[in-house]
Amino acid sequence: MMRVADAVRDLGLPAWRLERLGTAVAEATTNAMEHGNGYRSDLLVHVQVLAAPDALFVRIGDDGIGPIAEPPVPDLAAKLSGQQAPRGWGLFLIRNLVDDLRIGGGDGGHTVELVLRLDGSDLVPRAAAMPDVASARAGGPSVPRRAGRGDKGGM
Amino acid sequence: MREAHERLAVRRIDPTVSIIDVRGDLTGAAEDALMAAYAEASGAQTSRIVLDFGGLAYMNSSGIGLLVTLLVRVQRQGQRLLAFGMSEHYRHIFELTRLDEAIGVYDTAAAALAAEGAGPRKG
Repeated sequence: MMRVADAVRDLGLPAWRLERLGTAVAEATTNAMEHGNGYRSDLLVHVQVLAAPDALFVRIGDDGIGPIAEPPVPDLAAKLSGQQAPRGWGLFLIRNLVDDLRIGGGDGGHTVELVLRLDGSDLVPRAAAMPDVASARAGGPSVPRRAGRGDKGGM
Repeated sequence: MREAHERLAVRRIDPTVSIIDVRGDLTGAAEDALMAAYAEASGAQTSRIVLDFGGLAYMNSSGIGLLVTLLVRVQRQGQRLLAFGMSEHYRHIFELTRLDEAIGVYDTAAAALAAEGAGPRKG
């Protein structure tokens, strides 16, 4: 979380957006360690931060196989009445704390991509925003300080 | 990241109301500490349990799950759960999860303690 915060520091995001991004990244990383990698110490979680002029992307990848299982949309009344388990808020929080959440999964591992729009637009050209970015591996979450189109010099 | 494994302080204001000081990180690791604090805070005449979030450093989705578990137990005892001292970030999360509709959220201890009989609201 701290390394992601360091990576986006120069973008000038307001504190409240950074705080929401931090919570979303922490939840996604925890999910990757728990559900994707099953807390196996020999498997890594990969974190990439990419900036484009109109959006910030944080990708969290793990080695999980198959599609990411999505729990039921949490409903507080259902949880209080025992119809849902008390837990299961993680993906819900992520979806509501960033502007977009993209989930990919398959035999090559899971990838969750968090998007923060930087210009207020609802249209984020995904492919154009992330050209030729390679994955990186490191012990624990790693943040390659690379930027896509529109490098602002601080990433 | 600090973990809230340690005992959480409980203040008995009077026989009907107790304050639990939530400090450090409220994650799944804090379950025993939070439930032990509730057991200490809840007496035969207790009608309100107040959570002081002024010392909260971090709360994740598992921490929210713990609050839901606590809320179930509090409601089962016919008590009310109140809170104060939350940052704007966690107030926002309470709104997203609708916890603010079940837990009375106030700015200060005085406002929470003065809320006897009032339904959940934002102070």
